Amino acid sequence: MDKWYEGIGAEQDVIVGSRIRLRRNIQGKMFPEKLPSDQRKKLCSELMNHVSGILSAQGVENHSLHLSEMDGMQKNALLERSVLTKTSLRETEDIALTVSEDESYSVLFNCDDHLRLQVSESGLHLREAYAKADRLDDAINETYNYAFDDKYGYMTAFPTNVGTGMRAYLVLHLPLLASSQRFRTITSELGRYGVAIRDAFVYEDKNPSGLYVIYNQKTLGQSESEIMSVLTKVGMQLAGSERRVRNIRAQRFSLQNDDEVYRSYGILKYARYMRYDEALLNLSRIRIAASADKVSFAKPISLYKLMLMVSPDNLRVHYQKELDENELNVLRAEYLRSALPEIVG
Amino acid sequence: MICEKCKSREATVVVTEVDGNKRTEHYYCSQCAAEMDLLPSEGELPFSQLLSGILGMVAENDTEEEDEYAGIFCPTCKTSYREFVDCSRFGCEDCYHIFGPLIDANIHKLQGSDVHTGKHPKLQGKKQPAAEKIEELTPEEKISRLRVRLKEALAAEDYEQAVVYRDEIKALSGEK
Repeated sequence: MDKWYEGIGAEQDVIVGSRIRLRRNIQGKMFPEKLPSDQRKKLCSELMNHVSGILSAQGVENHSLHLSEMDGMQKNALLERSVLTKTSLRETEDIALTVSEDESYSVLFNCDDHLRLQVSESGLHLREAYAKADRLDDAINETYNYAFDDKYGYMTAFPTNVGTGMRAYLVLHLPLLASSQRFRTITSELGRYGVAIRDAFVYEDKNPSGLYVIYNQKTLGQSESEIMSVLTKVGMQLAGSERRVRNIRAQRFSLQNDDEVYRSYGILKYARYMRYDEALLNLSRIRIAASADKVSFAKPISLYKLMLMVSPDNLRVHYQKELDENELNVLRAEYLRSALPEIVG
Repeated sequence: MICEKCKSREATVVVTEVDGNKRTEHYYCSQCAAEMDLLPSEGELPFSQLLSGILGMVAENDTEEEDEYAGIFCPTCKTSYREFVDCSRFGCEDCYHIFGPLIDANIHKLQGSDVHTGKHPKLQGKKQPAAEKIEELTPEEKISRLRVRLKEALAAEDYEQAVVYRDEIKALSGEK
């Protein structure tokens, strides 16, 4: 089954994906950190069965697993694909995960809060992602009452998440905007709208992928809809700025632009040894050209998927073995040679 | 302000280092802060650390207040005020009623609001507020909680309510 990030979505030339996370706790139960071990175990398996059942009833194929059953590379690979959080890697006791086959739904149990529901969509589809999360949220609430207070809203372990318990994310591809002088000014302005930005991938202090994630800083005092509106506006503004830089570059430096794209393609398609940052940089360059239909491939391919898949732990999981830096670079090149289709036209 | 570590990105995280009486403030961008593990987890704000910073500071500057709050703990999950300040983490829903009022001003400062306006659970039964549990406490515990409320009422200039708390404290102190 194709993963959500292989799908097609609105504004996808710049807005790669949308994500909604909701944090919930069950009324009358202490939060996971304080909940006695036996109750924690019991609640974990109860919730897991319940959520898995709801998803199946909604026609969403899924599977569940305990984090203690997974090895380090599997967990890191899921972290790199934003299914798991860093907290869930530090501690795994009675933490479980239910994930749909396409990874668009993922629910974490007992990780800081009893429930962390996540829905991801390709492109700009925050509201669609929210609608799905909301439906799952209501379905769980039919059986379990949530810890909720009229003043504080949904009560979460950390005061950072209280209120809506919601964090909305947009993954943006801003390689050209990010290399412009204005970028620092722009990003420092985002805070004024309650929006934060961070690099999607970090390699030696750099972000060769040009992928950034923006999300709401505040969870209290704004409705879910307001949070999504602001984030969408900011995302569209950034997308607009990125597109302007892309257009200017395409017009003024058409030859250099084409040359750069085909060089990148050549490297990805024929190299025998490829560092992570090199792969990200070249995939990012091709992604710009492909999203403007400057190059087309013999078969559809999600370049974002390739960016995710060339990470160290996703490669380890793909090849089912522990790999050192050299082996990774060799297999990364091999993976890309086979995954990248021919250019046509 | 520019991040101290990478010296390129805008600083959005303030970390207060306290060494004896010396207090140093550090400014980092969210990325460097995340790398140094100053943030709770991916995609989240340094709010918790900020909160401990602010609450910690209050406690240090005002030992009287610390003494007053020190005896407070959540009757349900036994999280103490100190533990709450150190971890900036609620242990259960009742913690919100115990510690919430103490940090409302901080929540407001950091979240920009202190009242939820979003979704309400559609299928929720009416529940008992945890404040009712005050009846199960010892007189000392009751007094310490009431003192907190009195202080809040005074801060909010709600003198009518303050008088009620003052009288309750008086009555309880007399009982002892």
